[in-house]
Amino acid sequence: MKWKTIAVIAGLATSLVLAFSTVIRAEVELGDTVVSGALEVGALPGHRSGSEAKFDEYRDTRINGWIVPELQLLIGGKKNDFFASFDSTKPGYRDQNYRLRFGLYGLLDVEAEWDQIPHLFSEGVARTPYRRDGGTFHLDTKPTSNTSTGTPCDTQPATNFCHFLDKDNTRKVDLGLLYGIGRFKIKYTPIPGWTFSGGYGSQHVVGDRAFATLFGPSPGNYNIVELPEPIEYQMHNIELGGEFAADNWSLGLRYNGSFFHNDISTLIFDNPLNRSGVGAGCSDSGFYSNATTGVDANRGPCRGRMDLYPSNQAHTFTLSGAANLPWKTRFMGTASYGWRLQDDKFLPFTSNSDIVQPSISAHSLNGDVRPTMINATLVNNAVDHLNLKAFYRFYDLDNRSRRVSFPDGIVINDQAGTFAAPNCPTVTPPGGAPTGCPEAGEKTKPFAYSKQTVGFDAGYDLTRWLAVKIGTGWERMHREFREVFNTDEYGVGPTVDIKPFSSLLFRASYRHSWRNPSHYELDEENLAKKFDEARRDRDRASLFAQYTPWDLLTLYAGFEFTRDDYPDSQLGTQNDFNYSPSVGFSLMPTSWIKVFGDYNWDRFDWDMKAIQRTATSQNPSNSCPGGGAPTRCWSSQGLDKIQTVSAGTDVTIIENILAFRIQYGYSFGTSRVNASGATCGGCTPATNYPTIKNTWHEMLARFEYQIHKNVGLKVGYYFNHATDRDHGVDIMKQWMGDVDTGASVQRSVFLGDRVKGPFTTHVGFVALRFSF
Amino acid sequence: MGQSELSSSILGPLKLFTVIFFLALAAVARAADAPAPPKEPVFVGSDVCKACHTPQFEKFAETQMGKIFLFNARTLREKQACESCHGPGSNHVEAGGGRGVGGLITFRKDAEPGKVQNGACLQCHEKGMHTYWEASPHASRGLTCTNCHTVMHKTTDRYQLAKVDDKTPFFWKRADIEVCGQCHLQRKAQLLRSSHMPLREGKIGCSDCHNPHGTPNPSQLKQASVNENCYTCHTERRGPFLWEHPPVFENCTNCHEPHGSVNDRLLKVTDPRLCTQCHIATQHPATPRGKNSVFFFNRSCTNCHSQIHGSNHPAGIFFQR
Repeated sequence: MKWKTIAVIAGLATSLVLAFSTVIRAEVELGDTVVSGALEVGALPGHRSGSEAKFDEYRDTRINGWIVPELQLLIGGKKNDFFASFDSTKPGYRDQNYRLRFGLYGLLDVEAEWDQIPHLFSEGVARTPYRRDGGTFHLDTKPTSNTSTGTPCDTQPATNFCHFLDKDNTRKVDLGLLYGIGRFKIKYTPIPGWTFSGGYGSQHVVGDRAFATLFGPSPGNYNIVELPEPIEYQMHNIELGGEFAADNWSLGLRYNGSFFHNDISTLIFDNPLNRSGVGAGCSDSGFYSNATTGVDANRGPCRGRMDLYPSNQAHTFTLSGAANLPWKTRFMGTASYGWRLQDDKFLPFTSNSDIVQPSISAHSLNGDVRPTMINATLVNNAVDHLNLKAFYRFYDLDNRSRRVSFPDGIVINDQAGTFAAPNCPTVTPPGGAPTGCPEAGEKTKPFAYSKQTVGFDAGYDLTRWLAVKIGTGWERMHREFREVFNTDEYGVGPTVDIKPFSSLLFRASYRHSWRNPSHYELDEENLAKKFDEARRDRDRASLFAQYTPWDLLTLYAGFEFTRDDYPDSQLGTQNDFNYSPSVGFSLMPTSWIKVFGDYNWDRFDWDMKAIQRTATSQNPSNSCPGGGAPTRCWSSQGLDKIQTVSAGTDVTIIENILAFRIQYGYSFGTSRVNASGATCGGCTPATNYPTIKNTWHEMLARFEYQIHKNVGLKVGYYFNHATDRDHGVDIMKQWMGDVDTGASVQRSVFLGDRVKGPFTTHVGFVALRFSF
Repeated sequence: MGQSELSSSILGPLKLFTVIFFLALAAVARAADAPAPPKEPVFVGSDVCKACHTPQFEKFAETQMGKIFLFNARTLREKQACESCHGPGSNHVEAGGGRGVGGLITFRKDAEPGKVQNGACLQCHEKGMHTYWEASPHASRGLTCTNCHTVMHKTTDRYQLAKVDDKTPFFWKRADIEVCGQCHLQRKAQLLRSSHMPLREGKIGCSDCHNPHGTPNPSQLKQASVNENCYTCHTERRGPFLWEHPPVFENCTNCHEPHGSVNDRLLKVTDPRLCTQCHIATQHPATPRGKNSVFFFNRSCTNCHSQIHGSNHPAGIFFQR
């Protein structure tokens, strides 16, 4: 759309409005009602270069298109007894929103909303050789050769694997999701004290999202197939509740039901490496071969089959109440009990006809998890200036799902028993039953946990401007089927709030906590004490200050700090810490101008240790420095640093007529991962990764001119620029032949969707706002 | 006893008596001048308030609370209207009005202790989502309701927040995020991170996950656990699954930072290191990989282990099916 056209249209529209302005009044009376509203219509002329996926990640900005940023209608009774409002934002766009609300003041409140949230992953970048039919991905042709070496694709024979992934043989696929969310809520207060509420929500998610899976016995063959997973989810949520509140007590009961249904729960996809034929002409093999030359039909199954998220449902009842007791004591309590259920039928182990299916003890999980929460809290203010709080909380996740057992073992990646697991014997005859298969006798583990928390706080107002508090707490975490049965965590720390003058506020808090596991079950395979279970010392501090030396100036600053230390963890996470200072200001030198800005710096460091192992006998005492040769140990450190700036100004040039606003946001983040060690012969040395960098600039400047009491004009300019540097993404190609430096042959299919690239956008914004 | 001794024995008490007499006289005189203790105030009705405070009254009448109190009151407290929050106004009226006159409760910044100001609101708003206010971290730090809400004039469509929405075709600065961001500066900055949920697009806000008025749950979450909070939108990951991944089953924030991250997919630590924190089994999990390795590029470990949140497939023991 050309600037000239826009200017002409805007001018004509303005003239028309002004010509008829005498008939437009603020608030129109229709009988016993008063109606007001607003309509904004505009255009977004502009230009964008670069990737759209990041620019419109969660929004729909149609550059050079028309837009209705807002449509609003308000209806009220002249007696001020009822209200109704309709609000729409960007109708017709993928991120459109509609909301209808009506009711009787103090008696009834009804709200209905439709909202859409787009989530764009990639556009115009990803490609796939597959043809999709529902949940099945077909290959209409297959590569005649399965080799792809380290030389560029275009110099290799046309029959080479990588040519199978040429542009001519692949289809473009855009990846993204669209969430369509509908909500309906009603709140009814028939008589004072009683409140009934209900609600229904639905969420429909459609689109495609990339995910990958594996063919082959070992990851070293890179037989990865990356596909656009079709998403079609339906979620329904029901809420019903009632509460009675008297002067000194209240009691409420609520039910929540949540239902998830996956319309496409199974994914079937052809194996590009089985070149015995296409479609029905393909013949399964129970084995993979690593041969790189010649026609080789023993390339595993014709297709793989994935079980996507199963449908599930959850129900929760919650009883909550509170009472004001004697001696200025308040009791608050909540108890909830729920069910999380899932019982989808199991798929067979494999669709590979060359493998005899092992037995399984059940046809479905009969998944049944029962979350329970009980809380009791007492707050007391009987003594002046002294505030006491004590609480107990119990949370239990009781997993009653069936324990499923696999007496004959498990088929891994559609192949017959060749997975190199520690307890698996050598290859069995082709097509034979997998004897001594991996994980024979395995049983599933219905993980469960419960958490008890007790806390006590005492706060005292030493003076009107100084308050101190000390808080203590204990938490016991009990787990089933994990490495640690019980952990106890204790915490203590003070809080100080100082307000010597109304213009100065200072807040500080600190808490130290330490977590001790009762016993850690380690074995030859599992040597690391996992960070969510291991002994941990934690320090957490928070500072905030606000100073208003004059009414026209406010300065504020904050500081957040968290440090975790894992003193008993020889391997795994050693420690991490995060600190984040912030400063900001708000300045209003005159009544018609306001300037604001803030800056935040955030840093997150972590440190971990690992050991490169080829046998379970290798451990830190015999394979790390000081413990004997060879040196298998290595360490890694990470550092995330992010700077964020936002600033802006609001200027009222002519009160109620002309205003100007400019807002700027900037974020620059880096994520660095270094590593060193693993110097033994045959080991892969640990090396640094290239730093991830991302930058975000955003600026919006706009004038708002009230041409007439019913007509406003908005004119603005929007700038948005972003860059993303991520080595792991930037090097992506579908065939990856020249990227991997390993000696193995590369035979993987990638979508190449993650290449986002930078973008720069310049967009104008012209809109007329008609209000009445 | 000589005459001088007699004089000194009388003069001392006489002096003392004189001092006491004049002090008493002064006290009586002061008491006579002291104002009489204030009368117990009574309610005068909101029409009286309107007579002097017309602009404030008219603005208040446009708010939801105003519509209820002034036009649709059903309880005695609602019918008290202005005085249900500010207290009975008879002393204020009789004294001729004025700031701070008459013992009314005022909500100007720091004019009254926070508990007194909050007490006015808690007369009605001590139920439903405000049930746990007294136990909340915000209450314990002395925050007042008026730190986040305005009462006397209409602001946001719902909840009368102290900030207003700023909707543009490009972003939507929600009022609830702006209010929380007054103090939670780090969280506000995290919204601009590369990997983020759609908060700065206005699609969700802080109050979709948290209830700032207090809850019996950690971090003032609305649901009983972190995972249940996440499942309200990401219901597909609720399971339960045949094969569960324990840190996923227990807490989504073991791996994800929901407020925003510089790493993809809201991960706290970039992969493969995220996984290496726990997995040091033999073979590939704990082998450091080069930057051009399939264990690093693209989706790293989830290039193969894509069902990392759990699998219901009998062959999904390693989250590959």
